Amino acid sequence: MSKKIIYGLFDDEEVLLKSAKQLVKSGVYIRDVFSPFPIHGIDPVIGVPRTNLHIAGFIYGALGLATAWAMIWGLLIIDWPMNIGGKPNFTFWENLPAFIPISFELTVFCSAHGMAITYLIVNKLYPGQEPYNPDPRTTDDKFMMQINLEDTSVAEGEVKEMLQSGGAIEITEKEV
Amino acid sequence: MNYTMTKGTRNLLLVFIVLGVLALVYGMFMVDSQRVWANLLVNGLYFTFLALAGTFFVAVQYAGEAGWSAGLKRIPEAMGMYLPIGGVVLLIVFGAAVTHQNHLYHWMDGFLKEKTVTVSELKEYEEGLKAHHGGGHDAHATEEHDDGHGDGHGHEDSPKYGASHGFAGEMAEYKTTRPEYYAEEYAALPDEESIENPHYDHLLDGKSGFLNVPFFIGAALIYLLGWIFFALRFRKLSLEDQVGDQKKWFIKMRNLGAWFLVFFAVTSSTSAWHWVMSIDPHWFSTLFGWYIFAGLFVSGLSAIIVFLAILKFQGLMGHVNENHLHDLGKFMFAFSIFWTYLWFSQYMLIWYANIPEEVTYFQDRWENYHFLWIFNLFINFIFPFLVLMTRDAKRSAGTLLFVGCILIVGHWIDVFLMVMPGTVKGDWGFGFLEIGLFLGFVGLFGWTTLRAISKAPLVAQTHPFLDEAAHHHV
Repeated sequence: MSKKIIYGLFDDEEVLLKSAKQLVKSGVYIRDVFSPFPIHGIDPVIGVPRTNLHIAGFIYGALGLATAWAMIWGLLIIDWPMNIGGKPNFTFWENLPAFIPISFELTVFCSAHGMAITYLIVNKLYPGQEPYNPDPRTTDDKFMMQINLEDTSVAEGEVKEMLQSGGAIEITEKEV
Repeated sequence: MNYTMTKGTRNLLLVFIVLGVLALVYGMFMVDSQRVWANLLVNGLYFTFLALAGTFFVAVQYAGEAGWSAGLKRIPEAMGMYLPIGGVVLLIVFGAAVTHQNHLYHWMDGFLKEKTVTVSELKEYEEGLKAHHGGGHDAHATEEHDDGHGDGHGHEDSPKYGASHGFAGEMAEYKTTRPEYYAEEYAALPDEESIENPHYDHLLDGKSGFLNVPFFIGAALIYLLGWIFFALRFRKLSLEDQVGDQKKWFIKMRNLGAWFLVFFAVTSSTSAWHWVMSIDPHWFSTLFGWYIFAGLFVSGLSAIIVFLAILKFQGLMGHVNENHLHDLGKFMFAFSIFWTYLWFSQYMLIWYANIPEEVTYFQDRWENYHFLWIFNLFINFIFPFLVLMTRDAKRSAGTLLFVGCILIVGHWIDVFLMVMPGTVKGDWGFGFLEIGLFLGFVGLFGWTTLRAISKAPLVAQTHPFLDEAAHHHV
């Protein structure tokens, strides 16, 4: 098992996609693909699982709703009973229409911020994080495929050959 | 690839239509005529709006140069073919209202707008009222003088509400004690004597610039003829073979779509004011047009999805896959929330401000339609919100068909709740008449649409965006 990493550089995302499909078919595991923009249809090819962010969003939203209702109930019903709209009933449910906007705002606020922050943390996009993009050209007009030889049983030469025939314009390697 | 109506579908729709006719006949002989007319208005409005939503969908897709929907445009196009039938139903109801065959529109009673009348005119008018309503329940007085029918709970027997109902509660009591007939007070005067009309309604008189019969009928004709013109034009141009001239053809369609949207933006609001909001003529809501539009679009999308699912379960429409379903599902989900947003905006401001002439609108519904009124929110908001939240639900034809069917009924209930309180007040029912007539119109609408679908190839082979639609991926 070698600790070698092979990078294949492409100048067209369609060519990369085709090559990736072929590599995966032959049993090569592609660690990642670096691209200046999202490549349509690459996720299922290189085995990126579907995100669970929406579940986190739902939980954050529910937390936001609970926060809003706890706050309203504590402040406007228990601590300082409020006469809302000339209807002095001092109950939560009978005043509910007046509380819906706040409930909505806090649900959306917590859901949106929670999801954004979770996304940044999960993708290691916080201050002080070293960039791990192997080649700055992939932020401009090139596309790069990363293959860790430890992930795959296919021989190094074979992988390189497949990349070459798949249309890679440059193949580099790195020892870790 | 063409669709042909299967025997099962045909028989089911025929049974629905027969049920509708039976319900109408039953209603004519067994039920109060006002309730039959009100039901015709509910169904006339609802299914016309459903068809209009199809034309609106087509127009939006062209005007937005959308590619994803190119493969399914035959369905909304065909829905627009119901517009002439819906228009005829509405015109029959309106014609009967104008000629006082029914009393759906309180403001059409010209006597209420006369400041001074003679004693004999007053006598004659009140005789007419008594003859119509047996002196008991006064349907003309939907808001002005409540005779206490279906009332009496809500204010008195709930001490907690005593103070909280405040002004609105006092107004309701005041109305119940006001006399309904005045002729006796003027009995001593000679018949030709001019007197101040005790029935004079300054609000209706003030609104008579908009709410008058010639304008009402003229506008209704303009709305209906305009919509029918666009629906037929979309359909005709869409069926044209435009080989070699696709770009020119598409620009023509885009312009037609844009013009329709301009026309629709105005007429969807004004028709909602004319036909629906004026049922409760003392009440108004500035967002009523959008509220109607939101309901119209959700129910229209539901109908598109239902037709699509019917075709898919017959093994047709293979080019429409779960990606297209996903987009339709997202549309349905989003506009259900939009409908709720408008419903709530309208309700909350009126609830909060508690102004008598506004709050009576909801008081009627709260007291006489309590269950339906709350059920409306559950079926049209909570249900689609929870069921359609996940991605998988929006990508499954079965789930969408289920939600679509429920929403079609849900928004019918919404229209029912807009029309009934102002026309029959507490005298509503939910029996064979309502269910049968609804099913009858479902049959008529389904029959018209499926027949139109079967008349043209399902795929518009020369549509320039067909290839884009095939590659649609979300």
